[in-house]
Amino acid sequence: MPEEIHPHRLVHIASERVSHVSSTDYPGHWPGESYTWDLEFFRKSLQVDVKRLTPTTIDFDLVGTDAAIANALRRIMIGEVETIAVENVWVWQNTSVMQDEVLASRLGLVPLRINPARLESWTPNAVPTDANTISFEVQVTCTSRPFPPRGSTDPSELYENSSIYASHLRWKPVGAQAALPDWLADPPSVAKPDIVLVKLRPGQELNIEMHCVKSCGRDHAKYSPVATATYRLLPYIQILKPIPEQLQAKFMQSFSPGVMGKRRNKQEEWEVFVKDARKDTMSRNVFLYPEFEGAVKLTRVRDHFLFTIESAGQMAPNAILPEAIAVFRRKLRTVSKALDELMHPPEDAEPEVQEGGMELDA
Amino acid sequence: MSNPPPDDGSLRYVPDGPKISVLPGHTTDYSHATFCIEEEDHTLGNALRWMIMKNPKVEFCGYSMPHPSEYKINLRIQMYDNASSLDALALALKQLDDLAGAIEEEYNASLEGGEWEQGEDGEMDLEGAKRYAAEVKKRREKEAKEGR
Repeated sequence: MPEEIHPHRLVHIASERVSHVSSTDYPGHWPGESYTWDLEFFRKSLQVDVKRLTPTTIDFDLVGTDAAIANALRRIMIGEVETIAVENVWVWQNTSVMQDEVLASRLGLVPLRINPARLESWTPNAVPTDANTISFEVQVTCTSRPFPPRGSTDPSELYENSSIYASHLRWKPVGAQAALPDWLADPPSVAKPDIVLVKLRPGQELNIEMHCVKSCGRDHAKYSPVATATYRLLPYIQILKPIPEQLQAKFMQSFSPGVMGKRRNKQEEWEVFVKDARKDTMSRNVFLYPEFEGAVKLTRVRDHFLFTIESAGQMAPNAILPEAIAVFRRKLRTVSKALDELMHPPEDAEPEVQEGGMELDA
Repeated sequence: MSNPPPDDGSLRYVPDGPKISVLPGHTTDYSHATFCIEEEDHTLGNALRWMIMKNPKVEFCGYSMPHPSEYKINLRIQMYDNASSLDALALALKQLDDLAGAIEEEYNASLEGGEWEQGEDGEMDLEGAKRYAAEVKKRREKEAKEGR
């Protein structure tokens, strides 16, 4: 059996509605329960479990905190973690069929594998230097191959450079960049070399220079380090009364595959049990059948988040959450500092004008 | 009213005032006050609201984004027993920072534990990830030194 979960932590799921959605973990809500913030208690109840890690995705569980926090992290991962992407494009020569601006837009969307820590953030009207800009170039011409296979109609056999891929982008070191050991160990490159950018035919030519800068997804989606960053709540299913043997197959089929299992109980009878609630999609099919009325209670755990983060390629999937946390803490620091100045204005500053302060009857 | 966009052609939001200000209508002891926080949104607003509500001295806390295209939030705090809402806000900011630190520690511990499942699309480049982390650390130390 899965662990017992405190009823206050459950979101109820009925056939046509959900209820008990809002969190109630505030002081004064439940008699005899405090819920005042306590860091030691939080550390004990907090769980972060990485479940799966691949070169592109990470799945982890975040247990013991509120949706406000989970959502803040998700929002920051999508919109406020900074990465590096192509911002300005100089098209010196483009005789392909694709218009300059369309090609420039495509170049902007190519994910670049560059550690964002290497650059300063870009500010509007900044002067490009080796500290805030990385330069790439594409210089290719399509030509006919001298002796193509007889009767071939395949452009890749007939012509050289018939398809231009992301791998044709070449890093052009500027200033001190070529001398930095970190940069030479992992030189700036494209994350996915096999993205087709444009197709050329003999005589057509590209000569393009690109400036890449550091910014965030709020500015443009190309800077977002994630393809998707989502969370869902852990399903929690309770079987309230035993399911008769002749109905067990039907019962098990009303859940996603792998959710329900079958085993022998102490009386050597077959019984249905919840094997892996995590796999359920909460289809609520079980509520379609009157014979299962009152037999099962579907809920989700309000403070158990199952995160799935898929990297768009700029950084490793496991590096995205720590970046998001760093951004979150920087935000808190900025507001803290500003609040400190508001509460204790510098001596020489003009006293703050009290606008419309009033006495409230106690 | 918010300021017009800058003349560099971008649609960047230009803040109306300081990062944080107290809006008119607060009590003289700041036990009931609405704060305006510039250049923040639901990300910080909702997290702050939740943490402030965890303070037993707080009678009410709520936030709103007055307009979706104005990048600022209004945060309302009402305290019991004429306590200071400024203190409650400062405390919540500190507590949220502790919370974020705790989550990061747990996450790193879980990653180092290495008890995760591998995917079908190959193995993680853990050596590359280490080099990456070292560079990030260097940068953070440099920024901390410059006081950012």
